[in-house]
Amino acid sequence: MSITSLAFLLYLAVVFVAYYAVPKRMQWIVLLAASYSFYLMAGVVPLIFVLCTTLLTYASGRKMGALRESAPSKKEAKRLAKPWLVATIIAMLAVLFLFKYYNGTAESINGILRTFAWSVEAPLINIMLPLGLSFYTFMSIGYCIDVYRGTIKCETNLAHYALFISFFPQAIQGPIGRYNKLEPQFMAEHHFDYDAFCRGAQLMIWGYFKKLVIADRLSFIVVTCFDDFANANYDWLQTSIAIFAYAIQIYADFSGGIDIVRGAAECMGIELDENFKRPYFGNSVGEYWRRWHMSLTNWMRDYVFYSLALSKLSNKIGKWGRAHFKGYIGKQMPTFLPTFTTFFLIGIWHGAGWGFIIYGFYNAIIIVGSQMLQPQYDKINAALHIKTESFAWKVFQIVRTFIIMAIGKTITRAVSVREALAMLVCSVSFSQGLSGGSVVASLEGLGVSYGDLAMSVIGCLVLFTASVIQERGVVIRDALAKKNIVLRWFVLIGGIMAIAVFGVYGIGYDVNAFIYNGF
Amino acid sequence: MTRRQGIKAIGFVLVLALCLGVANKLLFPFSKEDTNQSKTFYMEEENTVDVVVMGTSLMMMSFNPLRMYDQTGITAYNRACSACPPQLAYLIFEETLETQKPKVLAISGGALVIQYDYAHREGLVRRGIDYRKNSELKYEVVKDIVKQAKAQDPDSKQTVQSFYFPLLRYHSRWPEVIWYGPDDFTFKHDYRHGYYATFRTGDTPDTSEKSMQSTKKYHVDETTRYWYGKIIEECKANDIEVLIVGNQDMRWTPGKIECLTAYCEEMGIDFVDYNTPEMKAETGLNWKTDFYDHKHTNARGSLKFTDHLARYIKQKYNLEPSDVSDEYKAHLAKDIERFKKDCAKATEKGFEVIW
Repeated sequence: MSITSLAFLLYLAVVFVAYYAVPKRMQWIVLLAASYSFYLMAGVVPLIFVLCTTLLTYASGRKMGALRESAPSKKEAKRLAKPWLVATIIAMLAVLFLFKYYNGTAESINGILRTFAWSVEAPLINIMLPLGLSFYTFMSIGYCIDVYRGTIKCETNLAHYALFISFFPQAIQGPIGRYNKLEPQFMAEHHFDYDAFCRGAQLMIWGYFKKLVIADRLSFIVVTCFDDFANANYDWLQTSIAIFAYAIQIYADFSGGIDIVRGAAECMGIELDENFKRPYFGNSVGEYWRRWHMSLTNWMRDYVFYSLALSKLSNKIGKWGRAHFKGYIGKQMPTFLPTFTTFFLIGIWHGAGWGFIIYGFYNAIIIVGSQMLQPQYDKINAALHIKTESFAWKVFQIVRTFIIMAIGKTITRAVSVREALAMLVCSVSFSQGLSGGSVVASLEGLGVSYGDLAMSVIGCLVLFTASVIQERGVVIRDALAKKNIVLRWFVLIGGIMAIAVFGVYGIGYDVNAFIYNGF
Repeated sequence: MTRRQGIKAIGFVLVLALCLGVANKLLFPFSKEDTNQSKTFYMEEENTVDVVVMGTSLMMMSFNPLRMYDQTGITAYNRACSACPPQLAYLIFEETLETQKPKVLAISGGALVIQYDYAHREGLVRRGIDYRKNSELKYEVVKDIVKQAKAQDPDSKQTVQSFYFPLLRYHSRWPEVIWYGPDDFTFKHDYRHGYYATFRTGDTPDTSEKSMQSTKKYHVDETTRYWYGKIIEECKANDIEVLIVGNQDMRWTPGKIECLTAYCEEMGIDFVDYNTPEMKAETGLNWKTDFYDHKHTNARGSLKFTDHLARYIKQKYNLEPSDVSDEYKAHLAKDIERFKKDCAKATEKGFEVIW
C-alpha cells in the first residue's frame, strides 16, 4: 500500500479511531495489529520475513541478556555473547544480501566471466525485496548490538519487541528507529491531543506536498533526461537542469515520505527520529551527511564507524600513520579506514550497482581529502583574506556542497557510470551551445510542458523558502499555531488544495513509487 | 477534545470541502454534446416523448428528433452518446423511464456487435457517465466498466473512486484551466433534443462494397447481452417496442447482419437494416454529400435518414401524433425554428442543408 494512496489515508483513519477508542493500556496492541495487517496487505512473504526477523533477533537478544545476567563480569558477558551477536548479524545480513544484492552481484560476476569468454554463469533468482527489509534489518541489528554492549536491557515481551520491528508507518522507508527511544513511547498511554494531532496532520500535508507536487513533478524532467540520455542529444542546459532536478527530487521524495510517516506517528503521540535537517544547507560534505538520512548515518556512526575507529586495527594504523606522516595527516589517519568503510556501506545500502559503490567512495574521498587538506585551505583563506564567517562565504560553501552532492547523485541515478560521466561532461560543455539555439527551445526540448516547468519552479521556491525559515531556527508549525485562524486555515487549506490540484497522482500520471522504497 | 476544538475541526472540514467542490467544478471537463444532453433531458416535460433512440455516435448524429416531430407529429428524443458501452446504455434507459413513457425504443445495431474497448476508450465513457446523477445503478455500471477495463488491460488505471472523486481524474487539467479559463459549466436547454449536428462533408472514399465481401463472423458478447438483455426485458414489461437499426455504414458486413438478425429473432424484437441496396435507394443517402466520414451522417444526411426512420416507425408501430400540451408543442416549434436557423447559417457558409 503506497503511503500516497487514498487507501493508506483510509487505513490510517481506521487505525487512529481504533487507537484512541480502545483502553489506553491496549493501544500498543492496536499498533501491533495494524502493523502486521499492513505487512499482510503487502503479501504473506513480507509478513513471514518480518516475523522471522523478529523471532531471530528477539531470541538472540534474550540469550545475550541472559548471558549478561549470569556472567561474572561485563567483559565475560561480552565474550560469551559475541558468538550470538556475530551469528545473528551474519544471518540478518545474509538475508539482506540475498534479496538486495545477490542478483546485482551475480550480474557483475557474469559480466566479468563473459569478458573472459567463460561459459559459466552465476544463476539469477526471481525474488522481490520484502517490504521494509533494509530498514528493519538495521533496526534489529542495532537492537542486538545495544543489548550486547549493555546499553539497553533485552526485551522480554515478544509482542512488545514485534511492535518495535514492525511499526507500520516506518515500514516503507524508515526512519531507522532505535529501541530505547521507541519502546517507551509504544508502551506509554496516549490520550487524544487535538493540538498534537493537528501538528501531525500538518507534517503529513507538508510531506505530501514535497512528494506529490515537487518530487514527482521533477521526475518528468529527470526520467526524460536520465533515461534517454544516450539516445537523445541533450545540451548542457538541459543536462544541468536534469542533474540539479534529480538532487532536489530525491530530497523532496525521501524527506516528503519521512514527513508523512512522522506526521502519521505524531498523530498517535509517537515521535519518530528526525531524518533530514535541510541537508543542502550543509556547508561541507561532512555537514551534509550529518543532515541527510540522519537515522542511517547515525546508525553507521554508532555501530560501524565507532566500532572500527576504536578497533585494534585502527589503533595500529594510527600508530603507523603517526610514525610515517608527521603532523596533521598522521593524526587523522586512524579515521580514514572507518570513514571509507562507513561510506562504502552507506553506498551499497542504497543499492548493489557499481554506481552506489562509487558514490560511497566519492563521498569518503571528499571527506578524507577535505580533512587532509584543511591546513592548506586555512592558509589559502588567510592569504586571500577570505572572511570565512561572512554570509557570502557561507552561501558559496552551500552552493559548492550542493553541486558536489548533485554530481554524486548523478552517478547513482544515471543508467550506467559511463553515462553519468557523459552527463557530467555534457553539463559543462558550454561551447557546444544550446539545442534549438535558445533557452526557450532548450527548455522545450526537455519534453515537459510549461505548466509543469512553472509548477516545478514554484514548488522548489516554496521548499527553499520554508527551508530558509527553518534554518533561522523557526519551527514553522509552532509559528503557524500562533497566527490567527484565517491565516492558519489559508495555509493549511492552500496546502491541501495545492496537493489535490497540482499533485502528480492518479490516472494520467504513473504514480512514482518512493525512490527510497527501492533502497 | 474540547467542544471548541470540535467546532473548529468541523468548520475546517467544511471549508476544505467547499474549496474542493469549487476545484472540482472548475476542473471537471464539460462536453457540450454529451454532458449537456445527459443533464438537460430532465428539463423536458414529463411523459412527452414517444420515441427514444439510443446507441452510439452513429445514432446520435443521424437521428434528428425535431425532424421526426415536424414530419410525423410524433415526439422523440435522441439519447445516444459517443461510443456508448452497454452498461451506460442501460443506465440511460433506466434514467429515461424515470420521467418518460416511450412507446418505441430504437437502438443502433452497431452498438451490439462491437467488442467494446473499455480499457482505452475511457475518455468517451466518462463523457457519457460523469455528469449523470449518482444512484445505486450508476455505481453498478461504473463498477462493471472498471472491471471490464481491468480484464482487458491489467494496467488500466481506471478506478471506481475516480468516478466519485473527479479531482482524482481531472486535477491534471489545471494548466488548461489556468491558460484558457474554466469550461462553460452552465446547463442549457438542448434545443436539438440530444441530436448532434455536423455541417460538413468528409469525402471519404466508398469502401462499402468491399466490406460486404467480408466473411468475418460477429457475435453479441456476454456483457452486451447482459445489459441489452435487461433493456429489452424491461421494454417488454413496459409495452415498449424495440427496434434495432442497422445504420448505413461503409464498414457494414454480412457478418453483422447475420449476427443482428439472429439476435433479434432470439430476443423477439425487430430489426431494420439501412445497408441493403433497397433501403439505400429509399433513403437516398449519398456517401459523398450526406456523410462526413465512413459512417457518421452530416446534418443533410440526418434529415434524409430521420425522414425514413420516422415514417418506418410510425407505420410499423401504428403510432399516432403525440398527445402533448399546446405549451410543449410551442416549445418544440421554437426548437425547430432554432435548428432551422442553424441550417440557414450553414447554407450561407456554403454547406447547403435545406430543412
